[in-house]
Amino acid sequence: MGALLEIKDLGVDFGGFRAVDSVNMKIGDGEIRVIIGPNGAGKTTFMDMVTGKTRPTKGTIFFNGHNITGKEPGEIAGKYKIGRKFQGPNIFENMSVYQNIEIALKGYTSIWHTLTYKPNTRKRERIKAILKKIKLYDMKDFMSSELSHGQRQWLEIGMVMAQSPKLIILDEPTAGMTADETHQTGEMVKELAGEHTIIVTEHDMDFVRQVANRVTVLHQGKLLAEGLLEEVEKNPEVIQVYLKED
Amino acid sequence: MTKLKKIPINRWIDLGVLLFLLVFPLFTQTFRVEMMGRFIAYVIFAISLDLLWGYTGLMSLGHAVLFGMGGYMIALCYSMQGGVPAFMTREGINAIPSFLVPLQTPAVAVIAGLLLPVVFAFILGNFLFRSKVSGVFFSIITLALAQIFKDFIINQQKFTNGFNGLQGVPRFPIDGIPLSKIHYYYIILLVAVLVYLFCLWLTKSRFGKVAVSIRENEARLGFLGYKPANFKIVIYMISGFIAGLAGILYTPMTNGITPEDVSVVASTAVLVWLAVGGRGNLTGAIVGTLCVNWAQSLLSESFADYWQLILGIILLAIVFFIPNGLVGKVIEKQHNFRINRKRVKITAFNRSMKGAEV
Repeated sequence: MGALLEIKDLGVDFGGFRAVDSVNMKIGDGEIRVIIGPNGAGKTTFMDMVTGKTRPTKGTIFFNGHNITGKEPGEIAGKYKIGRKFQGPNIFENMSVYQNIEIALKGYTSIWHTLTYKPNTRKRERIKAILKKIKLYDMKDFMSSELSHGQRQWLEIGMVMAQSPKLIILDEPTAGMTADETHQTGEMVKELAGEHTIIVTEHDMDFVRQVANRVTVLHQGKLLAEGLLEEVEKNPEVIQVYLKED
Repeated sequence: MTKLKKIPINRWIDLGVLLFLLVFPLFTQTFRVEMMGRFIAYVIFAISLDLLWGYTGLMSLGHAVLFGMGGYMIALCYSMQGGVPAFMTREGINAIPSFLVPLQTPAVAVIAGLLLPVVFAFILGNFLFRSKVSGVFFSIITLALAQIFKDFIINQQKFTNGFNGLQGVPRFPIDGIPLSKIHYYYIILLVAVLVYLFCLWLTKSRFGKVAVSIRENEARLGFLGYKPANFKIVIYMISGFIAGLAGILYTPMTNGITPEDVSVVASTAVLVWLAVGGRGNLTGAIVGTLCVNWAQSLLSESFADYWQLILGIILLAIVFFIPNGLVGKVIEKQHNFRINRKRVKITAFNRSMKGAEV
């Protein structure tokens, strides 16, 4: 398996504060990689740099053989096909559930394509399939502001699915969910793994055990450990900074 | 039948208003027809702002500038029909300046009145949206613009007749005979229907949904692969085109245009119409504009001294108690009714599933 995402010596400073420092990482095609670490470890900042929200001050990000370091979010999402689910649901509130998915549907993002877009059966079936996967088909006419917190998280996962990205980045997808919802989310993520490469940050260790294969641990902006979940869980350093709280 | 039921309630309101406007001239005096014709031109103007504010969330406080560009082009055209107009000779201009000569042809003036706001919106949009000016800063810049534009019109007295504005604009005469007020009323109504149908198509299209997404969460849209700035520029241009069109139609109906029609006051008046009717559904622009303007006329006729006070109280009450506007409230009611019915169904279904498990 070749590396889909290759990160070399990545770092960023915020006015002297080094949020992420010299991180190297390789993520293979089709892999599910879980990134764990205490609050402030730099997980979200790391995601921000990969998706173009934050410009790194050093290092490079190679995706699928292209250098995408410091490119615009729209380009990274549209041209290089990296989809992101944000921490806390980041959706279109006063639009219906159906429209949220429809707007995310890939390939119709230029002005011309939005004007000539025809909602034919194939597209409708695709949206329907996604809505069924995220268990919101019955609620497709609801405004997304009328959903529960967990359902909103799922809706955003559905939006990322609709983008058909090569790489899916999920930032704490289960934040604020009940144990039952968290488990269902884990099953959704596992189902996605077949077609996509996934990076997911998470605090909930049950969820991590449910989905993870390889795990990367960040601590104070640095890469602390990386490997199979069983190995990492036994790593004394990791236990000391992170796992001991559980 | 099921298809008919799916039509949102506000489309029936639109149809009702259209039927009313179609028969209106048959039952009233000519000066009322003229008034209503003016209000329909305002409806077109309000729709143009609805695209920008209601759908895309860009609150322009200077939209009358674009309206005025259309209006002044057509007014300038007709004031130069009988040779050099008096306000130019007074300033020592004895021949029509070469850059104004093409404007003497009404068709050219109409095209200029449509393109000028588009070009203006394109340039301003590029500056503002590419540099990520948004929210309240967009409003403030457009507000300043309205003031500057009004001052510009007043100062360019030799071309615009300053404070007094350009008067005596005829209703698109053919062979020197202006259209009758009734005929012109129906022309404005026809154009309004076409604008409405175009905007309905546009807002129902994926493009329109992208516009709403910009309003709801512009940053998120970027992460879906869109370039929101491009969309905002195009929407501003379309809105400018329609506003210019409204100005072109309005001016001959009222006989003229003055700097007051392009001022901040005029710009904020449209915001009020939209707020009363409801934003982001086209119907609100129609209903709000007609209701507020009629209320204004009728109140000023009956209570000449304190009509503004009464109107102000009504407007405040509406904005305070129904922030979504009159039409917004109706749509919300219909939506809630449907959603609650759906909820009941889903709960019943879940309960029966649980029952099956036990």
